[in-house]
Amino acid sequence: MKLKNNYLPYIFMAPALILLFFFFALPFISTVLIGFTDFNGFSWNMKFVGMANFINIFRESEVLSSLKNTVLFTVLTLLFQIPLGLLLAVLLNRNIFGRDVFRAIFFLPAMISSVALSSIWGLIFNPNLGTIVTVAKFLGWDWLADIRWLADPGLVMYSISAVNVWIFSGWCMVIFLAGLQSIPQEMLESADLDGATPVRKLWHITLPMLAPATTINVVMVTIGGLKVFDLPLIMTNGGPGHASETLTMTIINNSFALSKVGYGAALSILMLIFILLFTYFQNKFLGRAEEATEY
Amino acid sequence: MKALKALNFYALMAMMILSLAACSSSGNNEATATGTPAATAEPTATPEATPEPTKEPEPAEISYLTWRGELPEISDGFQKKYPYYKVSTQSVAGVAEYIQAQKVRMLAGDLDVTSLRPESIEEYVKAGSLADLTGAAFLDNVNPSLFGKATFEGKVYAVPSSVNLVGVWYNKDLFAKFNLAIPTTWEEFLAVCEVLQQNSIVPMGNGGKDAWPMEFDIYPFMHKLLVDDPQIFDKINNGEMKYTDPVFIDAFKQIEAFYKTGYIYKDVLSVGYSEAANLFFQQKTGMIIQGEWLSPVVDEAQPAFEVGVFPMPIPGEGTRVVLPITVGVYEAVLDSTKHKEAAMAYLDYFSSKETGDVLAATAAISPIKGVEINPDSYLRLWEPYLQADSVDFFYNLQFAGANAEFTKGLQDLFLGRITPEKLAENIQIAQDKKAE
Repeated sequence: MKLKNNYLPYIFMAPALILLFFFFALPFISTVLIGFTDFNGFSWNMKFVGMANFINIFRESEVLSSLKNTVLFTVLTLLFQIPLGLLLAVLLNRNIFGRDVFRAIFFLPAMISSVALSSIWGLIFNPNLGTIVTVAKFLGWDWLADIRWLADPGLVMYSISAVNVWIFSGWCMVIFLAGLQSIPQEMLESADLDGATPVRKLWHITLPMLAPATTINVVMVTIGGLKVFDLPLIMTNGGPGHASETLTMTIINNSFALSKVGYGAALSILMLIFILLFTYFQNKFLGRAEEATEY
Repeated sequence: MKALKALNFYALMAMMILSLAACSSSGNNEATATGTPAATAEPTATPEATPEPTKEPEPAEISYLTWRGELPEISDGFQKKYPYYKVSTQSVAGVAEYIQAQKVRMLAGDLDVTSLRPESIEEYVKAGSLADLTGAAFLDNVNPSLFGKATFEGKVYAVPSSVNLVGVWYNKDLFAKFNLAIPTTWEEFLAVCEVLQQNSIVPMGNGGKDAWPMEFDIYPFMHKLLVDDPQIFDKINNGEMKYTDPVFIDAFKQIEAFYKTGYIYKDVLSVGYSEAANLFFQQKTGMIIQGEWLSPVVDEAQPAFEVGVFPMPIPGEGTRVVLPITVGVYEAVLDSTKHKEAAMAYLDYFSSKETGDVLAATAAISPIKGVEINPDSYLRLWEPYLQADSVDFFYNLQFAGANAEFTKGLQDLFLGRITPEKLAENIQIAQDKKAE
């Protein structure tokens, strides 16, 4: 009986552990090891090159450029996606007509393939036949028709970020909704009795109580932003020039187009370390904010 | 508790051992070619007849990877000729996706025959991934001048299966409307562009959003470099020359000046390859410099005007005609194949006139002797020019990394974000990685 009690949980966990091993642990360990080789991706002839790949990364200007684009994308997404998700959550937490329909509509983009949505937005931004230019010409707004959303290097990352915000604000909305519904009603009623205005209730009760949901959203949006790949690939292929090339795209280009899988693996390890550090400090800061709001 | 700790320990050890075993290099494929490839060397081995099997061949099924579609007619023809062999054809559309899939399949070792892009051959040969085809009888079916990129140190590693060329497709109706003759010199070409522009027709434009078509709007300038010195990119690749040398800086300055004329569609960076072709079909552009591979697109579009073609005039070369012609697709046997005889039989069938006729029907130029161009395709427009002097495609001779940086750099040059000197510097930085 004692034997069964000790090993039965492991037997039930085994299938999940095996999957986790083959689809997470093994690829992860392989990537780390490959990062120290000159593996080309199509032949098992490879040799150990030590830290050469890691050292070369810091010499490449393309890596710095990709990192800059990636961080810009992440910051823009954080600045707009979180507040928009919160606004939608606050508005759709009320008992209004069609509330559930609106919730579904705003969450719908997050359920559709981002590759498909990227293609569609690429067409919307098209300067010949796109929706924006067609509407702009109809309204006589030449200034709008002349904007090159994806071909202007100074604008392209903003355009791609805007699409990402549109797709995933509904996701943030759902997380915030869950947080809003966990706020004790007595606190809000008590604030009403004390004569608090809606804005004061939002600022002093709702937002502090949403700290855990905010933490989840900020961390998830940050990780997603730093790993972004499909949107710039489909919409611009990293162009014009390298203006919208992200870190993940640089990894893919080096690994597959240039047969430098070892270099790509090293870069992905550094990217992982960067993301871990970024989110660690972010978590620390947000964790302190959560503690400060505990009653 | 102790048993639990022990179990944890052994599980962790098992994970580590399995992962290290998965990462070990087995080194089965030894590199068989070293040094700088002789890009223009002819095969030196005397062709031999494919030896007849002395006994009934063992049935085998081979796996063939390509990007040209499933090719059922070819598979069926092969299996009819060789009833003891079967071929499973897999097709992956999109060159970048194809190359990724090809590399994964090569690593897995479950590929027997594959289509190859010319820029892939050298690295595969150096890694020992391709089988030596030297002496195979089917090599005689193909024009011998086309084996340059597939030959290293006198050995042949791939057989050509499709020929590409680049030229100018133009709107004959628009030319007639503005009394324009086909330009035979670069100056006449610029004059044609000027007339079209003055009549509110954009002279030309490719799909710059996809990056690679950027090379075609300015193709004449890079083509000129090769016409002047056919070894120029070999010299770049072996370090004898650099992209920062005056000859390249001059070419990039000419490209910059050409961009400033406004002859190229101003929103070229917002359109992809397909959309650029549509702009031509919608008569928003008067010409498009593209490859013969536009033929099936023209066949399908059936534009409302008469389409013509002419060879690209070359700056500074007067009326001299030199076409960019290259082998765009090769076929090769993988060295790791477990069915070498079957794989070679497939290449033998693939290099036959029968297969050449099938591929020609899809609007491709076959390198196989005696195969005619499909008379029902717009491809026929290029037939009169096929015997002209020719040089290879410049981008097939560039190191892949340098070419990628070049196409991206053209986008920045078009926007005026970099200077020709900076473009040259960036390409050279990418080129230097070839030696790493």
